[in-house]
Amino acid sequence: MKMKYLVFGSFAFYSYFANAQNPDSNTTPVKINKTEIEVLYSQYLQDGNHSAVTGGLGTEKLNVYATRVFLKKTAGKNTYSIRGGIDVISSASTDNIDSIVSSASKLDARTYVNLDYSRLLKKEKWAVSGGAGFSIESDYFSRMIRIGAEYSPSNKMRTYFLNMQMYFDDLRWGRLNWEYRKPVKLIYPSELRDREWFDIHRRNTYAFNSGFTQVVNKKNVAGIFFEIIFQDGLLSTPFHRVYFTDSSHVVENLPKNRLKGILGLHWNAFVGGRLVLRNRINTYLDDFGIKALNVESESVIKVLPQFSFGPHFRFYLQEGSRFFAPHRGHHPFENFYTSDFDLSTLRTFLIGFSGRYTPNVYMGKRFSFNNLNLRYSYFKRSDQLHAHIVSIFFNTSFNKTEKSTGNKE
Amino acid sequence: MKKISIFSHEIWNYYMKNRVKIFLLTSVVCLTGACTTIKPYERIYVDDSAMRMGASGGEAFEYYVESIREGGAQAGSGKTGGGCGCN
Repeated sequence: MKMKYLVFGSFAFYSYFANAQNPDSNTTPVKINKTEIEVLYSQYLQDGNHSAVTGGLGTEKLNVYATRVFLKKTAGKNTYSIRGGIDVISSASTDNIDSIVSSASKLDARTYVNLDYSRLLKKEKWAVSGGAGFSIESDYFSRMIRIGAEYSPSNKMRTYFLNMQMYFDDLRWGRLNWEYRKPVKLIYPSELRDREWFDIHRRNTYAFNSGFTQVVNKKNVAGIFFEIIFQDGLLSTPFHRVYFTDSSHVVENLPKNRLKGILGLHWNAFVGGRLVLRNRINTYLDDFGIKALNVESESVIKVLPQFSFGPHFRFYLQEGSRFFAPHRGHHPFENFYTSDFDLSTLRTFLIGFSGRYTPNVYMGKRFSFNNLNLRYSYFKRSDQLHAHIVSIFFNTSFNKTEKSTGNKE
Repeated sequence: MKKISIFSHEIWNYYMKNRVKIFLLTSVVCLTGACTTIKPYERIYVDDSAMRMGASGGEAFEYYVESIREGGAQAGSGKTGGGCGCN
């Protein structure tokens, strides 16, 4: 009798768990529906004494207050995102475009919006994406379009990607002026406005980047990135002055084409169980004669699962453009000339510290607080330009999972 | 104009002479025997947020600044045009 109960009981027990595998419950695919919100605030405080606006000699005092918001909605295989922001720029050097050299800084703003869409294809091995956007400043309007593709084999050990980005820029001033409300003219230094220095006002940029990332082993990930950029149009900045050896001065003049090539190697490694090293080497070459190498490394020390902090540094070496000479360094017979120290032979050094709090906790049923990040860096260039950069960033999300109806999206 | 130090020149010259070899060697090491296939349950470290290749918010802003204050640009930094950056 007891044996009978035991057999019946066992059957009932297994039947119960067999029912737990009902296709209506656990094995039904779920559709991910997630909305991520990221907010970034950065402050950039710069000082130096080689402004290109005043011909390679003069204040480069600049403050930038940048706010950026990023919204990303993932619905099944589709991802939609919008990125927008405003950079408020207070610049002493652009204040010197006019002849009155004042200590008061000129205020400007850069506003930008980018829209992006991506979709997973073919058993989620392929993802295709596209996007468009614009940015506007008082003397600049830029439109951007982008297409891209990404492929990851089933084992997710390697990811290949390709991207093509195109920028179409207009350097005329006037759009944000209440009197004109349309692009009117290029802005030259006030004492050089007696003639038109350039007969074009557009700049086009075509950037093609590709590469792959590879999981090397359980604790190492590497990536190789390759980028080619071609620019044509007005590559000079119309309000940059250049002073010749004979003390006469003109507007900066650079070639109308520029080809750039970049190769990068990134390597992220877990050392032990608590330390992550993020390492990057980049090499750069262009037909203005600039050659550059940068090495950077960031340490992330995980003191607790939710808290991490660590230092970072970056070292950059640049061989300058053949079109560069400092204040009164150019001869009047040269075809191309600039005194913009960004294009000079230089070294830069950046050192800083960041802290991350990643609780990934739910507040309520769907709202999750994922990440809070604080970052400070000090940037120093060999020509004595220096800057402080502070950023605060947080990420939250609304998550919703739905049982898939089996319909194709 | 101020010249960069001898130490930096040595690094630079060595790098310029051997840059192709450096990248080929690194690529070959990565693409061949150094890589091992790992199981999904072994991805705890490689899936950690700190191991992501892309730049976080603060880093992305720094790349933008560097692309303006330096003549070069970083591969995959996403800032290759658009915006004046002339202040």
